[in-house]
Parts: sequence; structure tokens; C-alpha cells
Amino acid sequence: MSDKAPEGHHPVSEPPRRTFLKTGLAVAGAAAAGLATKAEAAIPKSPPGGETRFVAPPLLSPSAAPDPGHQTPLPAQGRTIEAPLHGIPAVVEPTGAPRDDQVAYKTFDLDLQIARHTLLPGVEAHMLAFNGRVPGPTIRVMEGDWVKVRFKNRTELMHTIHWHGMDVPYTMDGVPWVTQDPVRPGQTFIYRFQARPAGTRFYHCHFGTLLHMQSGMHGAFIIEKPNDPIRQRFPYTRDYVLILTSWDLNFIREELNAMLRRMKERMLLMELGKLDPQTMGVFRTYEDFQRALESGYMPPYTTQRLAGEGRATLNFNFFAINGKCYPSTENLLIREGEWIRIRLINAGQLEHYMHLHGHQFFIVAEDGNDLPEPIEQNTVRVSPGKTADIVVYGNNPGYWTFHDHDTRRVTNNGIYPGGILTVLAYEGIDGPYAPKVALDE
Amino acid sequence: MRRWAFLILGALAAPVLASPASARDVGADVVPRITIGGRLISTLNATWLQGDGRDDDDLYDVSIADTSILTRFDRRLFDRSVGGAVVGLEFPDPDADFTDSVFYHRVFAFLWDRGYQVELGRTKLRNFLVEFPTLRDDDLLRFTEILNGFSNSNTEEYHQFGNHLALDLFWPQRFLQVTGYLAQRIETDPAGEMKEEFDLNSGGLFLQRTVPGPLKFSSRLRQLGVGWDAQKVDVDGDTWKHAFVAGGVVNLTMDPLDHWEAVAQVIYDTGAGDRDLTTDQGRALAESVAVAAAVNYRHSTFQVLRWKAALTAAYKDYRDEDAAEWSVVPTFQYRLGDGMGLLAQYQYTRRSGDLATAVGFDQEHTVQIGLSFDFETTFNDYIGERQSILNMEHGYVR
Ligand SMILES: [Cu+2]
Repeated sequence: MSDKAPEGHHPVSEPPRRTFLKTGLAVAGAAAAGLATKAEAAIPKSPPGGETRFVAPPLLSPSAAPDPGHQTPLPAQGRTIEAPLHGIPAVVEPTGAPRDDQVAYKTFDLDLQIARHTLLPGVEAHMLAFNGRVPGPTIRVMEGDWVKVRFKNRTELMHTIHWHGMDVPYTMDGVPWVTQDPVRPGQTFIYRFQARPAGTRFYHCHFGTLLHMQSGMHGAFIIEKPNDPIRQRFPYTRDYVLILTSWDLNFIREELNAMLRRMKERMLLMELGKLDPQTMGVFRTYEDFQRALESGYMPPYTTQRLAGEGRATLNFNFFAINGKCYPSTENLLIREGEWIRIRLINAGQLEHYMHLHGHQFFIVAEDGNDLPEPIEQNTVRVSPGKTADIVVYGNNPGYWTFHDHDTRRVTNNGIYPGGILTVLAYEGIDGPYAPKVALDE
Repeated sequence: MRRWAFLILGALAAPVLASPASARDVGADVVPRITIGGRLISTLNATWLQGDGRDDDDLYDVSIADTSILTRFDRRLFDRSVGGAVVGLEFPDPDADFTDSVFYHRVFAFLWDRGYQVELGRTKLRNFLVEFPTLRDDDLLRFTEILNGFSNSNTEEYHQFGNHLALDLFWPQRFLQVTGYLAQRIETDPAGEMKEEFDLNSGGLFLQRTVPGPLKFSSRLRQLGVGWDAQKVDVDGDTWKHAFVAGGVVNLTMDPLDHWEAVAQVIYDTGAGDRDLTTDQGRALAESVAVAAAVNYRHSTFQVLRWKAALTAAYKDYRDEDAAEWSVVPTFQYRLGDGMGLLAQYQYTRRSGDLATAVGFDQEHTVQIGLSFDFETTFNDYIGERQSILNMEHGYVR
């Protein structure tokens, strides 16, 4: 465990004040920071009484504070694996983080099952769903909180959880075969770490990442600071999380089926004690791998194992915000004179260029880290793996589309409009034109 | 005059030359899922016949029989079920009536959804419950399939293929399948020539529990079923020939790398009319019991199948005659690569009593050594399989 506060990550704020938990370990807390910039003069205050609202994906409550509406995993829709095979530990708790009696952990429960996910009416797909949802629920904590995530794998596949953009102990980083063995079917893996640095971050599976992350295994992880300088400067009252993804539904279906078939056989082999490293495709050292090749091992990439057309490239056909494609995406609501914050997370494989009509917004953070100075724009590029936070001021009542300006991603199965498109809608206006639902232009 | 003729010809040609797409509605042209599969099997055969009052006979040939190519097109329909077509052609056995040509063995339209499948057209008839691990599916045809009582040809395709309307109903969670069919089996004249026309002349009903391939290790009992087939043969005062079949497949080991399975099937055929074993039709119309069983071993390394070996044995008793036959077939296939196999098979058949007299020899040895190439490729798969693991275990997605 490092006890260093992540000072370097907070260029906007003053150096973090240090607080000490009972363990004596230092945690980062953000100081209240008075900001005086040229942008501030033009910024009106948000309406009084404005309440902070978080929109989908649903917030995951800590297990100690039951909140059934938010935290209960959806009921399983099919076969689940509740316990690992004989001889495999049911729970894995790696070292590298303080023990439960050393710090006060906020505990979150994530399980994983295969669920039928509706992208939009008429399009359903099997996906890997944290707590039965795509994307997974949002975890929101304060910087410096100690977080414990009990991750139970109820599928027949193997997984991990990687905490993207977070400075966790390496044994908690969730990279299979590099920092941990993958979480076996029926097994629970307990991740423990301190939430830092503050900002818009996310979590995703790192096993078979191309398939698993795309198939739904991602969710937002928001780390707030006590006196967020962004909020002080742009007093937003609503805080939206928008996870952008792209799907090749045919790849997902074919590969999930193929992986399940391979894994069913591997589970049988494990029971028989015949699952050797070569069948798993995992070797202790590079030399072992080379020796295996000499003795007849055929690496999967030489036998073109990909299902179906053996594609090396994906043919993305659906694009989503928070697991939904337009017109099933949720509107972003704003009132005149209100600031809102939008946290964009690219959990997909394509670049997205999010463009807002009728407004100039401020990009205030990138990769979760506050920018030294907000940038005023109307289009923000979000690359795979990146996050971008923007704040919008409600100064132009109406209905304004917010969409990927690579309009190939504003399609459903090739038909425009669809995909990554939503509407910034002003509440309480009575304009001469109201949005309809358009499916074919 | 010539101009008129030209215009008329042009008008006639127009619908033919127009692309199929332009003949359709203004909706988008959806490319179907396209599956192309095929198998080339080429063997060097050596056959020795031995019989009473007959010199031993040796035959050597190269056989490409059973080589086939199959194309399949699937499309989602308005109600999200699936419809499509299959067109396939096959190279027949050397002793078939049409050796020099190809045989369109499968030409049919189909509809399917989670709970049903309908086929209308020509395809392989539902003459059997289980498949046996011989090199070609007709190596033990007389033992493993319900025979066609309308054909007096030695063309095996006439037993295996025909036109039918078949309806399968599925209860996926119970692995249950009920099949009903009306079939138009191929009829020949006494000389073995295909008749110019013939009716829907047979039908049947099958019930089975069958575990789909991707879930083959989910249950020791992979398949178990019974079936009934009736053919309206109208010979010598007998209107109907009935056949009853029962069979199944069992996983002997649940080991995907060293996998043993057992396969067995019995067919009781009531026969009809005079039981004259000297003709092909007479043998198909004889009352008989046929039993076949096989043990099949598959060896894989790193979850890749490398070789398989099987031993199949079959026995058939012609009940009212002093006649029986049996056959033993060891088969070996070594995979040189994905879809390329080195094949070897020996088949010993012994006939006794009136059957040996009728056929003219009582012992037959066949050795086959060869190569096979098979493939199956799916393009634009936007549909998936009814019996995929996801659809079977995690709810059906249309
Ligand atoms: Cu995973």
C-alpha cells in the first residue's frame, strides 16, 4: 500500500489536505478550493433548491446500507454456477490491502451472470451482466474511501475486474495471469483498495477483454472529493454518467457460444484432473511456451479458432449510451439557469466525438483528472479507455441533440438515426415543437 | 413482323433479366445468412466377393460417392421466426442409376423458430434415429435405415432421399422432439426405372429425447427415441408396410479428450406382399429385424479432435425366410488438419440362407483407404442457432 496522496492528479485544486484514518494511513481528500477564472464571471448560479440527481446506470449502494431498489442483483435468467468445482477455493482474498480490522471498508457486491439485454425494442442479446444489468451498476464513493468489492462469478466463463484509471495495489488490478488467476466459475474474488484518485473512472473485465468488456462487463466508478473544485466553479445540480459502447452483436453471440462450449469441456477436464496448462493456453514461462510448441502444441492463433467467419476485425452494428441505443436512450434533463455535469466514459473499442447542439460546454476533466483550465467546446473526443467530464449551462431552452458526430455510430444495424444519440431536454418548457421518435430517415 | 417478334421476345425476357431485388418491395434488401458446406470423400476401394458356385471376384475402384455440397440460406421473417432454403447436390454411388450425373439430394424450403421446424421439398428422409460412425452414411444402409418399399433399383439414394413435408416440434428445455412427416418416396417400375409420377405415399411419427451437440456432455444419455413409418405399398393385397424403430446414444465417458460413446438402433419392418429376396424391392418388402450397434472413440489434444476410431456391428434377420446377414465395420479417421482426414475402413459382410443364394455370394470384404475434405462456413450470421448454449441455457433470443 502506498500512503502517498495523489497530489499530482489535482491540478485544479489546492494540494489535498491530509486526513488520517484509524490505521494511520493517509488518504487523499480534496480541499475546498476557491477558483477565480475568467470563465467564472459569466457563470450564473444554479436555481436554488436544485437537487443533485444521478441518472442511469443505477447506483450501487454499499452492502452495509441496504437499498434494495439499487443494489439487489436482478434475478438470474438462466443457468448460474453457485459454487466452484471441488478443490477450488470458494473465496479468494489476495493480500496487498489492509485487513478488515485495519480500515473501515465500504463493501459492494457485484455478481456476474448471463442475461438477456434489450438494446432497444426488437433487439435483444445475451450479455455478461454485472448484477444482471448492462452496463453494470455505478459505484460512487468519496476519495480516500476504503472499498471492498465482493465479486462473485456465476457464469461458466472466467473473469476479473480491472479498476480502470485507479491507483490500486497491483494484486487488485484485475489482470488475469499478470496480477491474479482469473476468477473461476462459482468463485468469489474480493478486491480491496482505497478509492483514488478522485474523478470519473470505470471498471471492466480484463479476461477475454475484447469479448467480455464488449459483452456488458463494464460500469462507472465515480470517486468524488469533498469540496470538488469543479462543482464549486460550476455549481451543477445534476450529475450524469454516460457510458459509450459499440457492439458487434454477431461476434458477441458466436464467440460467447464458442467460449461457453470450450469452458464446459474445460470444467469437465478439471474435474477429471486433466486440464493441463497447454489446454488452457497458459504457460509458466515464455520458455515453457516455446517448448510446448516444439512438442506439438498449436497456439489458437495458428488454427484460426474464431467462430463464424474467422474475422480479425469486428463489424460493429449497434452503439449505445448506458446500454441503450436511440430511441431507447434516456434524455438528459436540464432547467434554464442550471448547470449539469456529464461524465462520458468510453468503454468500447471505437472513438466517439460527442457533439452538443445549441450550447458551448466546458471540458473540465479528462481521464478522470481535472484539467488545469476548462476548455470551451461543443464537440469532445472520447477515445477507447478514456473518460471526459463536461459541464453544460442551461441558457438556450429547447430540445438539443447530443450525439456522436461520427454518424456511422448514430445508427442501429446500419439504419440512421439510432445508436449514440440522446436529447438534452429543458424541463418545463412549452416550445412550438417537441421531439418525436424517428427511426428511418 | 420481325419487330413485333422482337418486342414480344423482349417483353418475355424482361422479368427474367430483372434482378430479383428489383422485383421486391421498396424495403431494404437484407442479405441472408449464407452457409456453405461440403464434403469430398474419395476412397480407393478393394472388394472381394466369395460365394457358392461362384468364382471369387475382385473389384478395385476409386469412389467419390457421397461427395456433396450444400448451400443454405436463412432469413429472419416479419414475426422474427426464420425461413429459408437449402440446395444441395451429391455424387451418387457408382451403382446408382444416374452415376454420370449429380443428384440434387436436398432442395427444400424451411421455416423454424424456437419450438418448431417445417421442411417442404426434397431432402434426406427421416428413416432412422441415430447415425452410425461409418465412413459413408449408406455403408450399412440395409441395417440402419428404414428401406423404401417402392423402389426396385439398387440406387441407395432412392432409399435415403425423397420429397417430404416434415414438422418437428421441440420442447428445448426437456430436449424433446416430436417429428411427423408425409413423404413422397421415390417409386420405380419393376425394371428399376424411376416412375414418371407418384404420390405422397408414406408417413411417420418419431419421438425422441435428443441433447444438442454443444451440450453433449450435459447428460450421459444423449439420445433416446422411438419412431414409426408407414408406406402404402399396395402389393399382393397388403396395403401398408410398417416399420418401427428405437435407438439411442450414450456417453460412455464424460471426458472431452478421450471420449467413448455407444450407439444402438433396432428396426422392425413388417414387410408386405411376397417376400422374394431376389430383387431389391423384394428385400425392402421382406419382414425383418435389423439391429446395429457401435462403439465410437474420439481422441483430442488441446480440445482439438485428432483421430477417431469406431467399431460398428449390424445384424439383420429376414423373419419368414431362411435368411440373415451381418456385418462388422472397423473405421479409422485421422485428422491431418481441420476438415482434412485420412480414412480407412474395412467392412466384412456375411449372408446366409436364401439371401446368399439370391445375391449370389455369401461373403464380402471391402477395404477402403482415402481422404476426406469437409468444411462449413457461415457468412453474415445474424441469426444464431436454435440450440446454441445461450439459447438453451439462458433464455431464447430471437
Ligand atoms: Cu469477463
